[in-house]
Amino acid sequence: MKDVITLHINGDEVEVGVPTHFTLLETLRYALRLTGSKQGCDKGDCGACTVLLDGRPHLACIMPVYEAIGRRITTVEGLAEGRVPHPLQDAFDLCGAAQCGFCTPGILCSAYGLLAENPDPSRDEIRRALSGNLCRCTGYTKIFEAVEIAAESLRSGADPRDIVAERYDLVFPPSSMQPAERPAGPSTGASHA
Amino acid sequence: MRNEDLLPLQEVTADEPDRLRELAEAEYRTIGRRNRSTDGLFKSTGKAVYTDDLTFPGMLHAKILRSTEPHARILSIDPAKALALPGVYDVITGKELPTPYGIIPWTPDEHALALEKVRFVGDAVACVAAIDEETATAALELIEIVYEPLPYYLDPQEALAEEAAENPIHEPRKPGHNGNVLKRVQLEFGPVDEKMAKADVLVEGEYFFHGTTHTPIEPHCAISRMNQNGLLEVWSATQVPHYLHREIARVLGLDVAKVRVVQPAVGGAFGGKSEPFDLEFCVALLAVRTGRPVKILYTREEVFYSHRGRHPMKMTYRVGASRDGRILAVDAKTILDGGAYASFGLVTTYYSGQLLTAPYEIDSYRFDSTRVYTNKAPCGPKRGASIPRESTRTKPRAGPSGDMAPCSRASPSRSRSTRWRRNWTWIRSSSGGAYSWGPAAR
Repeated sequence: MKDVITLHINGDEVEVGVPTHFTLLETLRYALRLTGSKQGCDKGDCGACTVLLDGRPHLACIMPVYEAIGRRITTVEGLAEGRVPHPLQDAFDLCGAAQCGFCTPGILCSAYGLLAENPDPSRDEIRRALSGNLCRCTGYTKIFEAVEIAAESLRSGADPRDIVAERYDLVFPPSSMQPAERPAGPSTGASHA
Repeated sequence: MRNEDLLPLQEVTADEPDRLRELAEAEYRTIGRRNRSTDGLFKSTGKAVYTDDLTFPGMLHAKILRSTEPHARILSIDPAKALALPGVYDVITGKELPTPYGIIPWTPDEHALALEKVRFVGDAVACVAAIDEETATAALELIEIVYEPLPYYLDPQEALAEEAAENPIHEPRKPGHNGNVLKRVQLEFGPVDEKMAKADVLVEGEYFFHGTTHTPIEPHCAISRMNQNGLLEVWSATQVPHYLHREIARVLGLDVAKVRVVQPAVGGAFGGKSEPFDLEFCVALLAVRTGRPVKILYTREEVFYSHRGRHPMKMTYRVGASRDGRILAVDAKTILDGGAYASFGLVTTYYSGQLLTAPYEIDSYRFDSTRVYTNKAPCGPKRGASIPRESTRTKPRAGPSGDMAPCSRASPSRSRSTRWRRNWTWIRSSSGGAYSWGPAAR
């Protein structure tokens, strides 16, 4: 049996016909083709499916899609403002926090929820907020660093590139830090020499 | 860069980050500095495309029926009721894919779908292609299979017993051999007995490593279709697209030029996706037979059935050392619990002995390693295949906190100690940090 429902996703209002047993994750991935949110375990253990509902992280793989009706859904595709990545996304890129990248969308949503509530989290608070998200590649350190850099960027308004260049010795020249699709801004990142 | 240029860096250890940075800044452009991956922003914005993110017009979904028996002969498979279910397009069984395959060309002992026997709970038996996943899953329950159960072996010692050889998991490759033994390697370097007799300290122990699995966050997934030029295309979450290409062509009896394998972004693997799997052959054959694109996505349970994680091992070690901290002799006997298929096992059997000396200069050593088939999910390579496990057996014994501490700590030269610490760090990192470093069961 199918049903037509209306969802509010990443600022868009979309109408979609789904089997009534579908989870929010199945609806996003297989009905709407928003494949950024990932299915890892399909049981609410790994956190790869984490999305934001009214700004708070939820596990989409164990949420019936009906529970998401009337709520503001944000997925990894909706974190950027237009073509400008969210500071979290920039920080994950610059720190190497996305290795295979499969847990990344869920971790970004959990971190986004944390920073909305706590703009200056300690390492322990970040650890706790991300405790529902498994990563098998990184060992988490680079992820924690990336969240700290994003938090500082959101507090001070500084470009994540400048914070990264100040904190770490970098191989890449600052000129390569500007992604091709990013509109040219005033900051090009500090020199690492 | 010439080899000599790297020498200063070899002398510095991970315990000296300042010195490392100093060297890096003076002579090296990259070591000690952060780099950035080219696809980082693609992944952090959700734009990277993994296999399950792909879809094709008219695509069917397939599901694999898995054995409920640990070891049994298949007497009959009847797919008639499944085929009659509305929405079911095709059912394939082992007889459609009779060519055996395996990642090591000398030990091809797997079939995409079991041919005559199932060898572990989870072994693939049949595959259904249907209009959607729900229909395919429902059809699996309608396939009727009659098994004749056989004795099964969950412990390598059981599989090595004489009576087990009468009902082996695989037919012996040479007459007179126990079919439950994939490979036995016995090698000796230097005068082990002579050196052992001269040792000031002898440490003996039995150790057990329980095995681990990779658990990538992305489950295995594969899609196949015939394209408009008659080319069979396969997208798969694999680490080995070229091996897969070769094996798909061989098993399906196609010219290699008629097969194209594409590796999309892979959501973690760690060795667990480094050989061809049942799902890739199933989607390929179903795409040929139905003329439509076909996808299989493993459930998390199926990821554990495909396994190929680090082998459980029973290790009996004798280590002899001199009073000045030199390891004179190692005598090792290892039994590897391989699970139901060969996978990389032939190589792992060699590694389990040949790499046991790393990173020391050991005067003499001998090993006797046997990889045994058991009726469990097959084991394979995982992060630094076979090295960390063997190395732990020698190193903690000899290291500052090990049993040899009173004599070995006293006098090793600076260079020896340095070399030991550097490699210790490397071994730790190659094991992914998920390791217990104390001696295992005594």
